[in-house]
Amino acid sequence: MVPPDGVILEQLSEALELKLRDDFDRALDAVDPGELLEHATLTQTAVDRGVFGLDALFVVGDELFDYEFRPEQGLGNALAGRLGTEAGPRHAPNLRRVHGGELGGPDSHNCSTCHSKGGLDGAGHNTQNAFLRGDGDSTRSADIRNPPHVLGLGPVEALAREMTLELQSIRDRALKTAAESGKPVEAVLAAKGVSFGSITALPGGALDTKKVEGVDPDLVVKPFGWKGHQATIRGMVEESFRIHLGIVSTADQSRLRDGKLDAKDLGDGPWYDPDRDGVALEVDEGMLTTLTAYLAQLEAPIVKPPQTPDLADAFARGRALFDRAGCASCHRPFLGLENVVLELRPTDPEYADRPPIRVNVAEDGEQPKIEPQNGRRTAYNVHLLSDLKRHDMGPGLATPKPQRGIPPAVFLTRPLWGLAFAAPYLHDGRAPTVDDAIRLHGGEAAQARDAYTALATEDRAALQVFLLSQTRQPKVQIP
Amino acid sequence: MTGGARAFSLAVLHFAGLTACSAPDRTARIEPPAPVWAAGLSVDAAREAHRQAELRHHLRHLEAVKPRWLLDATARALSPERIARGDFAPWELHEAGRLLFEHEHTFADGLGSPFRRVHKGRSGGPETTSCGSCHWRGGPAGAGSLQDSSFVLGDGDTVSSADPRNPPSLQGAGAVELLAAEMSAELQSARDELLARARREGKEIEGKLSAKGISFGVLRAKPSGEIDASHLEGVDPDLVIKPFGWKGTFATLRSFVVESLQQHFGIQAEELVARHRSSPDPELLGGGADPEDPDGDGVRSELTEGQLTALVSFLAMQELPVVRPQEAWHGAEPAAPSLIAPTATVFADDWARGREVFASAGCSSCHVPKLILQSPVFRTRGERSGAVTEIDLSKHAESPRLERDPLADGYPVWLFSDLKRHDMGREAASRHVDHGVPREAYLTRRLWGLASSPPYFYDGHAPWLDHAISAHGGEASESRSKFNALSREDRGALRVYLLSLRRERRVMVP
Repeated sequence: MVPPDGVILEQLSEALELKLRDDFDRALDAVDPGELLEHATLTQTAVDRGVFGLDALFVVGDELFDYEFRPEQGLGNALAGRLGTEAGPRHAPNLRRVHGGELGGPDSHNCSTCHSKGGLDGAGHNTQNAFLRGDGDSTRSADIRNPPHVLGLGPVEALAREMTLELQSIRDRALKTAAESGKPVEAVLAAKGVSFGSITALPGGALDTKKVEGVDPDLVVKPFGWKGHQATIRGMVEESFRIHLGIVSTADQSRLRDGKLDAKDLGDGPWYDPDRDGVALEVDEGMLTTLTAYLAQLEAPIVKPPQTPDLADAFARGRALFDRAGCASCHRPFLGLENVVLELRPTDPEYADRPPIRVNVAEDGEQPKIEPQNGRRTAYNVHLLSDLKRHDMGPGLATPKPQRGIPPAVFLTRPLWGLAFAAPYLHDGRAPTVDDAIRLHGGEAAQARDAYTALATEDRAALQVFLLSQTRQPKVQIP
Repeated sequence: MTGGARAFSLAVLHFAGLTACSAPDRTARIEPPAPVWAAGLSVDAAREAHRQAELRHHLRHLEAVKPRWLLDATARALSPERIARGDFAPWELHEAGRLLFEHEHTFADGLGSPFRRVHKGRSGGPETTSCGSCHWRGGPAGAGSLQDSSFVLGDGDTVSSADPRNPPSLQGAGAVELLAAEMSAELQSARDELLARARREGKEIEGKLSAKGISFGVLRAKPSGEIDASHLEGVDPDLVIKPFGWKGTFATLRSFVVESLQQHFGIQAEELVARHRSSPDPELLGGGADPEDPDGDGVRSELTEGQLTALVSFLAMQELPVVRPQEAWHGAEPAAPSLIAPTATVFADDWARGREVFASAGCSSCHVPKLILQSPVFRTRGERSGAVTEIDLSKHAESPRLERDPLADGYPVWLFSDLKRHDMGREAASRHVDHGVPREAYLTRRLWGLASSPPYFYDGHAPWLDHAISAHGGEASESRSKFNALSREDRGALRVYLLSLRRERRVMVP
């Protein structure tokens, strides 16, 4: 349904204002280079003064997300070697399409160009895949990752935090009981109804984590990255800056100085310029804060069922089949969220004592948002279609290498919200259609896959119609 | 197909003007609804953009219910006979072409497999599934970002074996093809005249060649009817201007599209397959046993002649970029309560000065601001049926489109290129000779729409204007030196001028 003119007019004027501001800033930057980044930057000190509201962080973060970094601002590094496409002596950021080990690319100038499919802050296409942990040249040597869309990250981080708290409090209770009773205590781990195996607390305060499932032994649910290796939006932003743009945060510099970080991931230069590109201040902590606050405030995906009677019918059948085939056991249709306030804290030890920024992920920023459960104001349902747990997907999907100790075949259940505009599917984008993606499931999902392939053709179609209704609110943009 | 899906499909096809496919024996054409060419930032345009988004959403559902839905429906409707008969208005071809441009190909459609980010020789990847995935920056049919760059002519694996190519923006493609064709005709008739004179006078004749005021060196004609092309500049000995591809390797959109479909998603157009049957080219198409299916993926006729014509029409009808100085912005509100409102600044002086600098630094000697087109009628011919589609771009193209200027006695096209190849120096040299074009040679990049299409340069390495200008070498070395010697103010002015080359603001709903 095309929205009424009033709504369209509102969307139009919002988009226009954004565009005018963008063009204007670019013109200022043309006259006075650096102006644009200045506009797109709030220092952590400025943020801490508290004069900037969430709105301001959103606006500035939006500009930063799209900002094209330049070598003189720290883009790239002097360590990437010159194997890649930019061989030669000319002024270039040493771009490297295939990453060289943990040091990364750089393979990008900015954030937005890999998160653009289906609109601003969307997903990435096959061509935008990242080739991680490779030898710097051979695409076959690399661990391929398709850029996911970045909508609804605020609620997801909030969910993960609550789940972590739930799991850790089970662990702490078990430790307490074990200490009191002097006997080992095995406790069943579950958070928001998702089982994470069990943990055994020993009387001496030690833990046996052999039976912990789908989460690291620290019981921190990490909902970001295809394998679920990052717990926070901020961590993801910081890592992406480093490996995709060759831009090192001051927080990483501090960690390096204090010996808390393995130097080889960042380069062999001094702590204040580990990538030896001659730029010391590349990302101020405030930039991370701004981008994190921006991402946490983005809209949530929506469900948009088809409008014609037959397709709507297929949607309804597909929804039921999704449960019956067993898809829903990992792709949980929703998880309940109690605390919608996300506290975002700087990670640089220099700023450890600064006050957090509080984002209400059900209200602040862009519409639409997650919706309250049955009109109650206290609890929300996040329809993300994931259990935020890691599962074994079988050898067919296994990556060439483990990632941060996560085995090759293990992945986080991909949240399926927003799936309609986010083709191609799977971690490396190998599946052009939903059907291809389902058929490529293996391991723990083998049974659900078999149930799907055993369905009648029109039932498989119905299930896909249901999934392809997971999309985002159509909005006017001025590119 | 279910009844509901069918009803909807008819609605879609009706909109695309393709309804008559359900009644093949009908000879009279149904008058389709008037074209919706709402442009710019109007509510009409936004409503139309929403309608397109709805259609996209529905098409995804239809493809799920019936794979190949779009390709089958358009193949049926867009028959060469109907195209030859003129059953389709230009905007209807444009609509069908747009759907095909956006369509994400599946294995059932004939998409190549498996994905290969670095091309293997001429056969290509495939590395993507749709045209729109790499042509999106700055709006529909736009440019590609750094990540979207193709790695062509490689070994199928290593980046260092291939030539990176950043997807250029496709605006104004129809006008460019027409300009090139007029220039080719001018060069070729000069050649024919020289040959005639040489024959008549019985001696070798030498003549300077130029087209639309651009010099292409010297051609020697011999009485025997042979030519000596060794002193030609910036064009192949066949004197055909090839304006498409970073190195100027394709003369027509049609040939460019056919090869792109093969290389980027392994979709083999009927025309290409037909050509392969008469003169086999297994290096490009593969050596499948079925002559109708050279890539051996079990899908024949992956893109019909009519579908190709629709795609080409869509591209030919793309809007023209504009030259529009940055407007002053008075009385702007702050973006958020705690931020400072932008100060009103007028860029008109910078722009005017930048325009002078562009000329005095010598940029405009290759990036020639405008060329004058004589005829705005675009033609594309189906190779198999011979059906010719004619589109008057001054009437039917997207807005902004070609407009006749009586003073210029033609249609000015502000493309900022001479459509000629130049030596760009050793640093910019490609790894491979591409379609016979030497490693250092590149076509002067059209700069129009530049503000909407970063990053810059053939490999997209330059995030900003300065980096792109600094990367010029060879014949452009002198201009680069002049740029480097400019004062801070002049550089700023030049950038302001360059950023005025942009696309008209338009709405879209992704």
